[in-house]
Amino acid sequence: MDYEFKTYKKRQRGQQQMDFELKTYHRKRQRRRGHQQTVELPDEIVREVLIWLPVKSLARFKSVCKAWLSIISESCFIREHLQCSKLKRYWNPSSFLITPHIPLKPGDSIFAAFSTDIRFYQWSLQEDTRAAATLLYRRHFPAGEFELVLPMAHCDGLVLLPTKTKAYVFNPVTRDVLALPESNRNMRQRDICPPIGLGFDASTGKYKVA
Amino acid sequence: MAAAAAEATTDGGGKMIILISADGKRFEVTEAVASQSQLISNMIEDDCTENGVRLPNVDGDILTMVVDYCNMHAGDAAAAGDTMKASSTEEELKKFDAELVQALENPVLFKLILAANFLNIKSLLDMTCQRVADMMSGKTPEQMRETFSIENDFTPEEEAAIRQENAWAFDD
Repeated sequence: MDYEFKTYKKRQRGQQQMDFELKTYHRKRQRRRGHQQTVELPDEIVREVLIWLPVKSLARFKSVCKAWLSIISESCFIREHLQCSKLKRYWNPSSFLITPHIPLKPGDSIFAAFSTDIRFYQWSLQEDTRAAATLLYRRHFPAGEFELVLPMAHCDGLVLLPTKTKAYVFNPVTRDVLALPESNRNMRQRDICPPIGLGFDASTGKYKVA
Repeated sequence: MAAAAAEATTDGGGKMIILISADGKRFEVTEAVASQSQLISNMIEDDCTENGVRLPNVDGDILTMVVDYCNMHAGDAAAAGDTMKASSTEEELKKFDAELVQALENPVLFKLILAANFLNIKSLLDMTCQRVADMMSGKTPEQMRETFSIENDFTPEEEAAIRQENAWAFDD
């Protein structure tokens, strides 16, 4: 009984899919009759292709047309794209993100004042490109905006940069930066900053700083 | 479940299925090979493959590639728990996959994607989509419109605004 039901469901699904594909196929054929050389891909397949593209290409392709813009901007596309990139990195680790702590005066210890010039480098692991670290993104804050840069945290390509005054979240790949609202966390202790972390809350689908 | 297991063990000497392309070409493959297509796998379970499986939207030349791919990869799925069958090594498969898509130009590659999607062969769909993505990654939006026969439906102002927002992506 159970088996029959399962088969029935499967058959239905297969049939629906076939009907859908056939319809798409006929529609495309009619539209393109006489243009034998062009094959159009339906939107759901364009989406499958776009999933594999690097972020920079996607940012460029937002201006292709409205349909592409909406595919690329969808939050579930963005999530899937992230999963896909993670998988690719897992099978084929290709680069690291490096963010140097640059002291204001060369030779100063890591407890001295830091430059407000924040740089993200992509260090490539490809064997053929030996001089591997390339500047991915650079953000120059006004001098004195913060002094002490604390150890950074990262999650899914987002980088949390805590300073003695404020905390920032960077998305170096999309060149986005967000200054978090000031909290009283730094007021309590004048010299030692409490630890701060960044993580993904799967229940709400949001990234949180605590 | 039991039915599926029985099929897997008859791999090699198992039942044959005839696939018929849009232009009437016939391909004889084993059930193990054909069932990499989820669509056909469902049809096999439903016992409706006896008179051959007609694939009205897959041309013979495309189906040739699909069948080659499935023949090559038949080991993958079936041999997951069964090392009896000396299937192709991972390296051979990689090489085969690379060669299959490397030489393909747009219309054919797109047709192969449509076939993989229609037949529901996830690994082939992923591979072909990835290939198209690799070819697209360095291109401009204008080149994309041309490749995909897309009409620009933005007003000049809208397009300028979106480009402005993503200006960094247009470097180099």
